Amino acid sequence: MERGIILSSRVRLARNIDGLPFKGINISPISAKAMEVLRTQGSYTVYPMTALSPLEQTRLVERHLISNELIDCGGLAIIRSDNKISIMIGEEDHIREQCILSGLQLKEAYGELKYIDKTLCDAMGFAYDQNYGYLTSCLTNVGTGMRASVMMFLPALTLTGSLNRCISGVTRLNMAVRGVYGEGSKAEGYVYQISNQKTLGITENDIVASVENVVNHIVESELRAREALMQSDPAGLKDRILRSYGILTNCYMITKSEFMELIAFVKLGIYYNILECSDPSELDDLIIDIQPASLCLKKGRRLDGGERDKVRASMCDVIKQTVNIKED
Amino acid sequence: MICQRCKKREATGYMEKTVDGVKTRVYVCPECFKQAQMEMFSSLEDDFGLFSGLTEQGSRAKCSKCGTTLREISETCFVGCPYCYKELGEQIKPIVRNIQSAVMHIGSSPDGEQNENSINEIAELEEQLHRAAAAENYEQALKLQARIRELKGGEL
Ligand SMILES: [Zn+2]
Ligand SMILES: [Zn+2]
Repeated sequence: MERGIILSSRVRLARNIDGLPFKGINISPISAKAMEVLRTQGSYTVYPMTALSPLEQTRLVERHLISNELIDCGGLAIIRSDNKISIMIGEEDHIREQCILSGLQLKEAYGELKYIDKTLCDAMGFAYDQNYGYLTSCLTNVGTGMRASVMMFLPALTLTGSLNRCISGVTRLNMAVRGVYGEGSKAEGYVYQISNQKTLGITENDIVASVENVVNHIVESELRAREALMQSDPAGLKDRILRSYGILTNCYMITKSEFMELIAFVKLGIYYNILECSDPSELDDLIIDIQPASLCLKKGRRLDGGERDKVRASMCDVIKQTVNIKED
Repeated sequence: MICQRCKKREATGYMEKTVDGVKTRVYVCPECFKQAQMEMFSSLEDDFGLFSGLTEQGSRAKCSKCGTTLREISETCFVGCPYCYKELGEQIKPIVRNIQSAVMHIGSSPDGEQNENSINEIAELEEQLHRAAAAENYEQALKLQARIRELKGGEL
């Protein structure tokens, strides 16, 4: 059941080439060198931001493969064909290596990244100081240069109003919580990212362990909140779940934010056994596919808002095919 | 989480301040952090010149490689080049401590799993601390304790 709460794990390492200023460097020799090393390890593709259309750029952001800042900086990304490893060059730091895996797999993600980091470091020589560790452009990343984050689906904590208490507990432990979708602090689709803040004076393994620890606590709180949510108004909740399912499987047009709200209730319905789903991963894929840029690229052209809402509604066929109302 | 100062933007870090001897944390966005750093600098200058050594030096000290000044670093948290960390290493310590509650890396290094140096240094200091305490040299013990705490990250 945790699988539905913990969506994915990501580890990121910030690195810089020794002897070069952090800003305003020529990225092509760095990427050439990195590619030389990576080519021997797997199938990687280079995506220079300057050569991509805005739609293609945004699609990579929607898939969490690059940051918005990489686009602003005109950097480039080297992405492994399985989309699990992405190396950003010319972002805030010269190099940002990241590994994303599904579920709670921070240890595994760090393990995989550690090897890649070592080979890149041997080839390029990263800026490192005996006292300050890996040197980064911003003091908030110095030391390990490591950010370990976990994406979580927390509808019950949000709906019961317990999330704020949960967040303040988490921030006291040097962790940050932020919404993954939506503008500002409003988390669309009840999806949040939990990550470490402290990068210095702590080992990589302790960062991983502390984030995992916090995530496991949040899972328990979410499960308790789901119980409380059902107990407080079972009929109302069941009604909201079935209405959400009804709209998603019958709509002709739907906005992204309405979709994100309703799909959250469908997922809750599966959790409560009100709905049954033959393949939950299809729903997670759908959430990414209906994001604006991904959706346009699927259709092969830029679509205006109304057109997108129609295409999005037609894509909800997947829900019809994989989710059913459970007979009781 | 929302910035506790402007209550608008996303908080990305925190500042520590001591009120009536109690240390509290305020979670802030980068802009408010910058603002607070500037206020701190000017209030220190206005007041008794408590840190006048730092601010006076601070306004002038800069990296001889890239030209980034200590003031710029303290205002933005951004460093110009790897050499800044070497040349301004001592002076940026208070800023680093404020952000990280630590000033010493204990994680992995390019040539090995762990940063042997700091681990060894802590072990060595703990040994010294043990000896100092046994010899009832409390002044020395306190100094060593403070140094160990600093290496380990301030709060352990
Ligand atoms: Zn603020
Ligand atoms: Zn410099």
